[in-house]
Amino acid sequence: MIFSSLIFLYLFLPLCLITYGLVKPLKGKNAVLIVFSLLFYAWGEPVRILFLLLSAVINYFVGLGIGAAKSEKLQKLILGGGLVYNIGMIAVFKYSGFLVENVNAIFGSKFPVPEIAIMAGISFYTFQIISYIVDCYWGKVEPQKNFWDLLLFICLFPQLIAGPIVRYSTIAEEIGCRKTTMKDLSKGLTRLVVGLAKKVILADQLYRIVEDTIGSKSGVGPMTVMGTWYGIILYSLYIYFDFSGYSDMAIGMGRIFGFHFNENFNHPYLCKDIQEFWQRWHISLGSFFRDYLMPISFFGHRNKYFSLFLVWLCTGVWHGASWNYVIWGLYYGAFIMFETVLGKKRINKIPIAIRHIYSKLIIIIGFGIFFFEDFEQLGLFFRNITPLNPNGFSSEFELISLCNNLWLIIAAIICTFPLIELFRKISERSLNAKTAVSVSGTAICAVLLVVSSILLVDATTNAFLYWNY
Amino acid sequence: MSEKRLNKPSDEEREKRLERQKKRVLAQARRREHSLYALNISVIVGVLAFITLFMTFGERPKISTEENRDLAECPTFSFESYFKGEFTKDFAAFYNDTVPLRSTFKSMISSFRANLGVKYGDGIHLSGGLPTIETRPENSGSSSTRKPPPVVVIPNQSGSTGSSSSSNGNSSSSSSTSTSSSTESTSTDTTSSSSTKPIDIDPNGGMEVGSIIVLPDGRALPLFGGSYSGGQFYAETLNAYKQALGENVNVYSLVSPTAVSFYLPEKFADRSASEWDHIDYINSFFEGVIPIDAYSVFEQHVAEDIFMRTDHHWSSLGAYYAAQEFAKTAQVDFAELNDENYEKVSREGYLGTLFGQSGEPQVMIDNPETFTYYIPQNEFTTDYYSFGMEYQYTGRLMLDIDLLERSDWYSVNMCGDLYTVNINTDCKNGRRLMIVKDSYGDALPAFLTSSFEEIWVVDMRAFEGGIVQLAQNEGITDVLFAMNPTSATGENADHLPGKMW
Repeated sequence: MIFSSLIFLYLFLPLCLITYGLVKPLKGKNAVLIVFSLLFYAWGEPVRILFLLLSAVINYFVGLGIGAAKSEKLQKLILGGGLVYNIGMIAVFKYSGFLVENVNAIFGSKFPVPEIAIMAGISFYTFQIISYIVDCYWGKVEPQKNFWDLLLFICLFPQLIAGPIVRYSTIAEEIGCRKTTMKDLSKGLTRLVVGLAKKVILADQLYRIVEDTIGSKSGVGPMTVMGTWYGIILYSLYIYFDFSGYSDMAIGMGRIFGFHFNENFNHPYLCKDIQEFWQRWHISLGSFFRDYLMPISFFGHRNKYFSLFLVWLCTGVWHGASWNYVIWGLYYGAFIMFETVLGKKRINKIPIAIRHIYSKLIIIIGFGIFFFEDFEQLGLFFRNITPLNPNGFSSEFELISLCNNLWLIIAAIICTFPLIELFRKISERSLNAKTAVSVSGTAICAVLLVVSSILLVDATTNAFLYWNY
Repeated sequence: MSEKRLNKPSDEEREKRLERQKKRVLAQARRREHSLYALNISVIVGVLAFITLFMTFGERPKISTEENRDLAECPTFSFESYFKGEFTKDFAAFYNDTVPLRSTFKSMISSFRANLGVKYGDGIHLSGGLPTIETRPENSGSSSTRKPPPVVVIPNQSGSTGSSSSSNGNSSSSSSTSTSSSTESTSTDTTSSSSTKPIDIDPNGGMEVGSIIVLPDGRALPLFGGSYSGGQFYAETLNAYKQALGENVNVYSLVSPTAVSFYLPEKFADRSASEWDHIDYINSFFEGVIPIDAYSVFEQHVAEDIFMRTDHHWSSLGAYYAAQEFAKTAQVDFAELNDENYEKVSREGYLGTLFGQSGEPQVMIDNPETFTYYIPQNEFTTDYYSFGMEYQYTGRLMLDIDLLERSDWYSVNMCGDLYTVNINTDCKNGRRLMIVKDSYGDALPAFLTSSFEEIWVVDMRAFEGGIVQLAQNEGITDVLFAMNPTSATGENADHLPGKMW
């Protein structure tokens, strides 16, 4: 089940909210959330719930074991076991086919390629679990003694499938003691609607154009220079609204239930360099690698550049079992290394307009690498964005498509700016300004909710991009 | 002075007063904030609750006339289907597919998408969804190598097979026992005629709304994508039907072209695949199946209203010409269109399925069309059965149009696609027809009540029995598969193999 579907919004969510509201004690509320989260996860593929529960049980004991172990050696051993299990689960369910295919290709072997259906959200919830057991080992959090509370952390449906990667320390306290205030409810509902609108009104409509350009059945091959750039720029906008829309909905729903998740996006296209981009894009993943992978020393040494390489290799691999994701991660790693060597001071001396052009070019071309899993298409993409493109510079097609979708594209570009923060600043000027902004915001939310719901009637291919991660 | 000095508040008092004022302002701000939160929650929860109630208690449609298909059905729960994941998947499909007022919302979505930008130049609107145009594979037989269509088998009056005649013979004697020789074959090679357009079409007129071209006179033309592999699949499926039905049952294929084949302006020529080419490709695979060449017939009548302008279906007049061609091929009597044989009924102001799909363009509102249908005047009875073949009622073949919603007037033909229909006529020629169709074929039976003594109309999408079995049980002598090229090369034809037995 996905958030941007009528069945979720108008059947699952109302039932969950009503039941949650009717049950008074917090333990009961938690039980309601666990039941609905398991139903949510089991939707469409009930068997996968067993693997989720198995992970919860094993990691519950790993956490307890680390807490109870008398020696550091034993703690390390238990942690190592937990990490092997968790990374092994991702390896089996997400990468086994890819690994075998590559082994066969390299060594000429003929091992049967396993066809294991990827479990939705496995990369997200496994990383959450890893953060929990590592934090237990580092003593940052107390191992959770109550299994049901740990299960709630792992399976909480707002963040189960596509993040943000919520750390145990972020919500540990709120699992045992929380209250949804009027402010939480109001902000949570608003965030939910804004996220839905980002996904349905912007991302889904943008993707329709992407499907007519670089994503068409005939591929990127026949596209002109302008057509290829047009398609990939729209894809860059699409992927932002798709993923940040999901994160908004997750954060909003979390807040409705009294949880305060960390932000996952901070207007990434406002960045002036690649380091800043990654501080604004998928923040929970970047901070996960920064906190849990960077500090690891290899062979007794810590090398900054090796760690950077590893982080970006893992970032690429995390996004999918295909070589283009590996290249995508290393591509960013190379630019971050370049910027690290150059130093912040020197970068800041470069005119801001050039820094913006540089960063947007790298990001947009990067999403080209991300988009094309087929290397032949990827090669054609690189050819087509340059003067080597044999199809000419432009055609009427791009112009027609741009005209026909002009308002959508302008709206999408405007929405990459921090509009809500802007209105918040206006509202701080006076009480009347606050009232005007708030009432207008409520009216806009109502309209966005109605429009999004109507558009969902025709939503046939609207799964979130990060759904299978 | 001294009094004034006495009244002047001390610094302490002023501070206290300021403090009280600050608290008052803060309390006021808090109260206001609280009210604004309450307003926000009430409005959003109100909208959510309203839509939830609407989705829960609103009447869910069962068919989509716009998309020409049955909507998903609510699945029955079983633990087995749940654990396989089928129940939840099917239930989600049902819930999303059968939204109350679906057609209205679909039309609003088309409008929304048509207004996401500005129109380019003279009105080309590319809002996605253009059909993919395939190149014709080389594996189809040329007209010189393909097998000639079989002769039409004409049973004698008692119902047993009496004789056979050329599929293009001109005999009109329904009870003939003579065997006509094949004097001329039914030509499926219409190359020479595929581009004839004896009417004025502005080569640069019209605008493009997604996959629909809207002409200046308000005529909407859904672009055709087609699929050659789909066409081959359809042809091979009909061959299998012919084999299953046996030599004594005539099997015909009426893949009827749509308006896009005849009215598409030059400038959009590369947007649509050739329907003629796909029909020809389909015909090249037939073995024992007799193709009905509606394309050539329509070419002679393009100046008449043979297609609805605002609907994806043909008009009753178009269906009449196709039925006439079919009757000629099947060598049965045919009632010409005149006041004696038919009662003509017309209503003004029709806006059909393409009105909403093309974003409700003003040009259509300004040029609403006349919906005309014909009620046959000979004697016949019409029995309606469920798709599972349970008798429902005996009623009129053509409904009272005034009881129907304006956008639903095409359903005047046998209630649309809701039943399996059995028509028993006063024509006694030993010929019993089964029409296997989707909605395109709904308009045909009205013109065949004087040509066959019994007609069964089976919807290939929803029928729950076996078509061959029903044909054998009812002593069917002729089976006509009737649909447009999109259906024949697309999803609708996919239902056919599963409905054979």
